[in-house]
Amino acid sequence: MTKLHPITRISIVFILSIIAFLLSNIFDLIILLIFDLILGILTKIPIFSRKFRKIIIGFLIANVSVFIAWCLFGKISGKIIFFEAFIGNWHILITDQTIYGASIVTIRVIIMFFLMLFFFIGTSDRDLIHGLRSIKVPFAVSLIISITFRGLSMFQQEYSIVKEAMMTRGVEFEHASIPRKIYNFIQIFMVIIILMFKKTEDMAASIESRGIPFRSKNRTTYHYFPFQKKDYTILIGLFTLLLFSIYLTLINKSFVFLFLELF
Amino acid sequence: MITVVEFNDFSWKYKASKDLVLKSINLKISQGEFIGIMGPTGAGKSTLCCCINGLIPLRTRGWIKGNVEVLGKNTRTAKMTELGQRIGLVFQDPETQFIMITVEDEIALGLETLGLDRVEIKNRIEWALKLVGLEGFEQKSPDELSGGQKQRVAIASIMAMRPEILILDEPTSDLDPIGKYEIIELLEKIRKEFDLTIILVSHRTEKIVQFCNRVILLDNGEIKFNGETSEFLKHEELLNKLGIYIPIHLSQNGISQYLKFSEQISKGKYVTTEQDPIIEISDLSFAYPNNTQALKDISLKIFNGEFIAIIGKNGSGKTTLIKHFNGLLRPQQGEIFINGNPVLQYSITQMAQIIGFCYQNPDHQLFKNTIREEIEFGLKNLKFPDDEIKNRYNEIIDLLDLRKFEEIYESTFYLSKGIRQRLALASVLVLKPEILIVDEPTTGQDYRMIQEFMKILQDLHEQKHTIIIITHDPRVIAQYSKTVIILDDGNLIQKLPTSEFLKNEELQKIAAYTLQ
Repeated sequence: MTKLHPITRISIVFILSIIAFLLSNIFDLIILLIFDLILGILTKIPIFSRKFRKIIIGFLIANVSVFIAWCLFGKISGKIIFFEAFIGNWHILITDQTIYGASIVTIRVIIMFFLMLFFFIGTSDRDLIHGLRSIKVPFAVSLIISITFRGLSMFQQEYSIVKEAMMTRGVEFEHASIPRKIYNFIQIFMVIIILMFKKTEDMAASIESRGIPFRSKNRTTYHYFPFQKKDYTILIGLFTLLLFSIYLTLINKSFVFLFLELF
Repeated sequence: MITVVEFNDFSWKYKASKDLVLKSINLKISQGEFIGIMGPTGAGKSTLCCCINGLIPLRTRGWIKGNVEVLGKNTRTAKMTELGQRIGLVFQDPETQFIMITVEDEIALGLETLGLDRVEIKNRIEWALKLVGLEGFEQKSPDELSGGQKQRVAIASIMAMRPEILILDEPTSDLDPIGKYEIIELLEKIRKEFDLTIILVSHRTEKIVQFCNRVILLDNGEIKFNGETSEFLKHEELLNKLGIYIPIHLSQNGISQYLKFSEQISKGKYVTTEQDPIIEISDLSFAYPNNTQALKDISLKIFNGEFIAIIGKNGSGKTTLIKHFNGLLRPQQGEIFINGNPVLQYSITQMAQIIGFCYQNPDHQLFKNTIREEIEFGLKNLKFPDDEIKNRYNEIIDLLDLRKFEEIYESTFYLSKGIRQRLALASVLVLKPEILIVDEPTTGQDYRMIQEFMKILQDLHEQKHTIIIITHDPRVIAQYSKTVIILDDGNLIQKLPTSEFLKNEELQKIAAYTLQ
């Protein structure tokens, strides 16, 4: 994945996410999820390393909550009723269709999560900027994205310095009550907003002082990111898959069932 | 000689300022000159630089009178793009000059604007990085660079554009003394090679005197001196009046003068007792997540009442060491004891009352709207009784002479950097810590402000506070610290009296200490 053109990488994430939304059959979604995971394995991205394990566990816990919430608030009638209860005005109805709907939503979210994870691990902010410039996105847009990434990095640095500075004056973050924590974080953000405001002004002056205009006919591009055969192949494949998924949605059929019908 | 910059009766006032920032400036600069611009904080030095580069008046609102012609163009009517490409301006804070995500992209940014082809851009990137001694840094991100390296990248990105005039506004403020010397030496080399006109703003008289042909001294928006460098130091009365440092080692035997200072302070009013250490470190090692080994097996004792300067090259581990003193960083190996107890036994609130910490940039430390709120914050946070808060507030505001500013300024936002630094110190001192740590108290400050701030630290030391400073300033080390701790590449080289350090050239070399 890291050797593909950044635009191809973005397209994989977006088109497969759209397909995940279009597909409404659980078997189709499971196939897409397997395809998603195979893609991750092929790209050799260490998603199960210690670094990413925490993120994945955190996500899966959140996803279980989505599943439970769907079951508790979904109220979808079905052939089999697993559980039914009334708590005041709240009607809990868990049927086979509730479980089916919750599973579909959960699998869709998992597919999109892994796609995003592969994209962010395999694509640096630099790739993204050069990718955008290579497809002739205006220079101003790529410059703004670059400044945003720099800003995020500066924000992170400033945040830890200001937090440390507050701690040296006796401000507790770890053992404080939740309202106190919120108050302390507001104080940090107030300082950072002022600092970032000053830094933004300085950065703007720096760009201006170097005579870098937003629009210029003379501007050349140092980095060259050509689309390769594999990029074209993948993009054609993705768009075909997207069109086929739209077709299946329109005729209200599942990919698996259509496949079984044919063979 | 060809005139490249000409100010004709030029005056400027920012839209928000009450008074003129530059007043009837008449000035000519010729091609190939190396000009030093000096003056106290607020004299108008940076404004003058922006006038040459065209940022004033093309991108800044204000009132203007007179004209500035640069490279034959009137800055009122010229295009910012053209001026920017021909006149390079390096700002004081290299952090905010880094727009792109890697060193290579940063340098390429300006070159793409010039319309150069890929091969030429590549050649120029390589050339510029070689020029500033950063070959092989192409793919590094700004987060991986030290302050000094960022400053070098800022110079490289400007030099790659091959400007005709190069303006540098305090470009070496974050560097150690040898790093500073190397950069200025590099500028001189570039000037000779390309017949470049260089305009350097600096508070460091030593550098100006050593490298510049001409000095322009500004005060309150007016030129007070404009002449040969050799004449500059003869105006002792004027320099003293404006608080400009006169380097003693250039007129007399410098080291012996500094030794005299050092011996005087070691006989000062308050004498350290080497009994129980206030801070004791044994076998301390620490590595950052990117595997940079910042500290290696450090064992050290600091005694009550010491005035210590922690010195060493950029990246030698100074800040990492002091962050262990108050538990901001936890030791990965080894132990730290404060007053005989392990540092990790203390809570954040307890630690704030034992060790006060002043940051290099006061903006990181101040977050309240008024001076009173700022000073009282720590006390209120620690739930001190109202009477005690009132007493301590009055005590500290008088000690640091801040009362007059409280009356003048409604908000701390409008205070100058020097006063904000003093306020940051007050906000820490109000908690009456036994130990005071100050990180780089002199960066970007003029000589008078440095003297005022250091005098406060000296007074606190005489009131039995233990003072620890991190500094690159050779004058501050020699004039104020009794002891130096030398770090090099994460190793503790030695802790010794400053007077002995000043006699030891080998240690000075390790600590990147030079009076030049």
